[in-house]
Formats: sequence, structure tokens, C-alpha cells
Amino acid sequence: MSYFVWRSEYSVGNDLIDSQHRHLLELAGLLRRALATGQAVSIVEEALRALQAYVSEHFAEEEALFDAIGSPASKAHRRQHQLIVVELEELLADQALGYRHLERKLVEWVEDRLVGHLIRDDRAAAAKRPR
Amino acid sequence: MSDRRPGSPEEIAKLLARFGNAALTRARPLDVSQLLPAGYALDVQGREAVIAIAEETLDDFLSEDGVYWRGAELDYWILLPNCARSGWALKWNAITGGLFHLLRERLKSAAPQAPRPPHSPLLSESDFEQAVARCRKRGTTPPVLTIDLGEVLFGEQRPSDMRLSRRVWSMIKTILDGYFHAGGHYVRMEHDRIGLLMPHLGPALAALKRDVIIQEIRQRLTRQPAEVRPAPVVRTGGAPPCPVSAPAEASKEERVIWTQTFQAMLAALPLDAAAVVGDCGEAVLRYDPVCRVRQGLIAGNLLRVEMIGAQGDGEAEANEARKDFIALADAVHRLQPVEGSQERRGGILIVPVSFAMLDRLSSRTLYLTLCSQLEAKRRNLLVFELFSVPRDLRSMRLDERIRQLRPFCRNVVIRADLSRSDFTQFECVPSRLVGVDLSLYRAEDPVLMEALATFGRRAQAAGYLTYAHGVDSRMAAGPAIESGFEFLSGGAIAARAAQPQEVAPWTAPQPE
Repeated sequence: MSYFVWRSEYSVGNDLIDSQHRHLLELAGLLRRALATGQAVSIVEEALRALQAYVSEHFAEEEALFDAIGSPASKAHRRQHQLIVVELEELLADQALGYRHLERKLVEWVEDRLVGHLIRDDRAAAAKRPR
Repeated sequence: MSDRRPGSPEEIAKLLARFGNAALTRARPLDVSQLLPAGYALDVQGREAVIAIAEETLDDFLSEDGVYWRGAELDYWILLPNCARSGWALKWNAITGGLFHLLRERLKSAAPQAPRPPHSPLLSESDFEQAVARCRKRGTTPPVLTIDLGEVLFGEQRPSDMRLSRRVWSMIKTILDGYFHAGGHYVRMEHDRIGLLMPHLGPALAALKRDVIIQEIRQRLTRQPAEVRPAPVVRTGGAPPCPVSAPAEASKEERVIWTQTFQAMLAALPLDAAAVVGDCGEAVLRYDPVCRVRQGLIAGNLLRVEMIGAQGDGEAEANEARKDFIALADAVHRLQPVEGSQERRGGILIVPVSFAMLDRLSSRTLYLTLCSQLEAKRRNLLVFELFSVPRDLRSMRLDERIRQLRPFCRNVVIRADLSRSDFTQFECVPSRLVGVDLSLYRAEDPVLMEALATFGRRAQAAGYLTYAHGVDSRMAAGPAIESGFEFLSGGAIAARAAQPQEVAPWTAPQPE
């Protein structure tokens, strides 16, 4: 079972974005599995880099969509994306430094930050359209 | 003239009567579909919307000196009979430019999503081979892995005549569709094997994903738990059996009070519902002397609580809360002057406190109540080290928590992760002191030292003083001092002890 299960309440009402969010959680779940099962450092790093690459790809598509629908939230939304990208880079640095609580930090980051972003920011941005 | 169909015969007849042959020879075609926003869906409703916008624009631009008519689909013909060639160009640009912007303005909020073909993860064998070949053409060698369902379901005792029922295959297909919804493909092959193509994952990660899928298939079909995690022991009431030793110098009566205090505190901890007491383990308190580098002085001690025998990350938050209370109780006990004795000469005591505990109203109330037990004049010796501050926490909330701690201590410092690159969140920290604990990292000294120097440089550039705990090797101590760290602790600075060390001169260790 995937560690981070996508739930219908995470939906932003757009199939493409929802599908990408599911994939994000799946990649985060693979990363957690790699950590929890004591996989080699190279595999953990590969999982982190896959997550990082997909986050960048997804954010670019999401920003284009919110721009296209003229969401007034798009500027603040971009700022949130930038912060998440920085945090992911820090997670990568933590991994390289052998941080002992990386799994716990990852879980907190995914559950609080990433899922929080999907539920709070993405849904708000998708809901806001110009009058 | 192009093969475009002009307007109705009646319209043409009217135009010819009005403008003569010029109506046909000088009219210019305008294909409005070329001006549409990318991805705009031209269904019936969409086309009507475009026509309305186009004709509104043309009415506007041609109301005085021109005419237009619609041909096929979104093709329009425009005629400006009294317009010179140079004027034509200007007018033409104005019309197409105006229409281009108006179409975007009006249609973008209603623009349907660009149609994408639905992703079909299940392929036939030939399509699967083509998909693999396409990946190879793009220069990637995609990991193609297989799952042997017979082996997954029966292990080595696979029946020779095994056949999957439609119902079982349907369940497996649902699982696989879920895992390949966003990309990648799978194929059902002979002998109940499944081929998996995961072009977006590297080989190791793809293998990991296959393992996850196998686990889920096995779990669903054999109804075995996917992973057996130790079941938490839920507290049912009463004080948890968490033995915490009283300080060695405590009297018998003090020991009783000590034990009762801890039990009362632990019982009051907000370990509700999902909280666990479980294998609480035994708390061991140790003190790391902390050196103030510039003054060459052991200025105080960092209190460290270790839970011997405690379980891992599963109940991490509950353990952290317990450790917070144990540390604070010890600090309150140690900092209080013993009646009739001389004032203690110990330096400051640094007590770690987790943000999660402090952020919960019930545990915070209890914690601050315990803080208030410390005499006001002794609070100057207590420093709180706040750690695990959520990365996305707003400064305002952090400020609020710090303000709640401030009346009970000398200062509040912040422990961050070594990877921290941005310090704006800590702008509200009055001490302007941030640091790291190197004992939380496994990397080799040279890697850690480089990261420590980077951390110090970034934090100092942002206007913070810095500290580092867990400096355990001399090799690490030198660069930490050179990097301008204000406070250091760890094995290379002074040995960890069972009792806090007095304020004393200190000499920087020489690199090995």
C-alpha cells in the first residue's frame, strides 16, 4: 500500500491536476518506503530526485493552468511553490548529510506541507476566478 | 479567388448591387479560428460564442465605412469599398488585433481544459512493445519489470494449472490502474505474468514501486496485512509506568516527591486518543558543557534527555513531549536554591523544548505552569532551545509561542536543520541566536564541516549569532570556531557528564 493515500477531498476539481497530485503522493510514498525499509542511500537519493523533478514539472503546469483561468491567487501561489521547492532542496541536503530523522521529517513535510498545500492553496486558487 | 464559400446568394446580390464587382475582388478573408486562444474547444457552444464576439467586433469597426459577411465556419469576408490601400492595412490590423484580444478576454475564463487523450495504462502485448520501443527511440532505457502472479499468490507452491478468475483479474487490474494512472503502462502476459513499464522512474525506484504493487496485490487477494507495525499500546488511565530516576543527591523524601511529580505530569500529558505510552523506557539525563568561544568560557550546560528503550519514530511526538517535561522538571529542580545552602554557581541551563508540544494548548498550559514554579530570580539561568519549528509556520505564531516562554527564562534560541537556507521565519526571535545539533547527522566530518560553515555563513549574513551542539571531533571543532560560531558543545569541547559543569575557563581544542 502506498504510504500517502490520495483522498477525494484533496481534489481541486481538475482531472489533470488531481492526477498529478496523486502521482506526487505516490512518489513521496516511494521515498518513505525507501527510508523505512533501509534502502541504499543511492535509492533514497533517486527517490528524492524523482520527487523533486516531478514537483517542478507539476508546479509549472499548475501555474500555467491558474494563469489560464485568470486566478487572482496565482502570484501568491507561485510564492508557495517557490518555498516548497526550497524545502525540497533542503530535504535533499538533509539526506546527503545523513539526517537521522529524515523519515519523520519527510512524513511531516508531506502531511503538513504538501498535502496542506493541495487542500488549502490549490483548491483556493482553483476556486478563485475573476468576475 | 480562393475556394472559400462566400455568403448567401441574397447577400452577394445585395453587395453587388451596392458596390459592383469590387465587392468580390476587393473583399479580404479573415479566418477567425486562427485568432482563438490555444486549446479552445470549438464545440457548438464554443463556436456560437466566437461568432458573437467576432460579429460584435466587426460591427464596431465597420459600422461607418465597411461591410462583412460570414462564409463557412469561422471564415469572414471584409470589404472596405472607399478605403485606400494604406488605410486598409491600418484598419485590418486594428480589426484583427482587437478581435484577438477580445477573444482572449471573453473566452479565457470559460476556456475548457485542453483536451488530452485519456491515459490507458493497460496495453496489449504489441502496444506494450511499441511503447517500450518509443522510450528507447527517445534515448531512454526504460525499466521493464515483471510480476509473476503465481509466485505472488502461492510462492513456490504455485499450482501448475493456475488460472486467474475474471473477478481476481479485475481486482488486480484496479490496483494496477491506480498505480499507473499518471503514466507508465502494464501488460498482461502469458502464464499470469504482468509486464510493467515505468519510463519516469529509474531502475531502483521502479523496483521499489513493483514491490509496493506486489505487496498490495498480496494483501488484497490473500487478506494479509501489508505491513506489520507494532501495535501501539493505548493508555487506559492512571499514571504511566515511566521510571525516571531522581538525582543522585536527592534525599529519600525528595525522591518520592520527584517520582510523584513526574507521574502526575506524565498522566496529565495530552496523549489522547491515538497517543501511546507503550514502551516508554527510562529517561537518562546528561549535560553537555557549552562553551562561549569568544570569552573562552564554559558558560552553561545543555540538558539532554535520552529515553533508553523507547520505540522509534512511530511515537516520536509523544516521546518528545515526555522528554520536554522531564528536562524542564530537572531544570526547575536544579535551578532552585537549596534552603540554607549557598547560592549555586552553575551557569545557564539550556533546555530543549519541541514546538509541537508547545503548540498544543493543553500541554503548553501544563508546561508553563511548571515553568512558573521556578523562582523569578532563578529564571535568568534558564534558556529554552526551541526545535522542530515547522518550516511553513508563520512568524507571527512563532513569535506568540516565544512570547509565552519569555517571562520564565533568560532567552529563547532556535535549533534549525543544518540544511536550512532561509532564516526569515526566525525574524521574531529576540535572541537572534540560531544553531544546529550535529549529533543528528551521520555524514563524515568533512561533509558536516562544509555544511556547518555554509549554515554559519548564511545565518550570520542574515544577522544571527550561531551555535552548534554535538561537535564531537576535534577535526570539527576548529572549522566551527573559524566559522564564527558563538557557542559550541560536544565531545570535542568538553565531555558529557551526569551533572552540570560549573562555569570555568575553557581552551579551544587543537585540531588533530
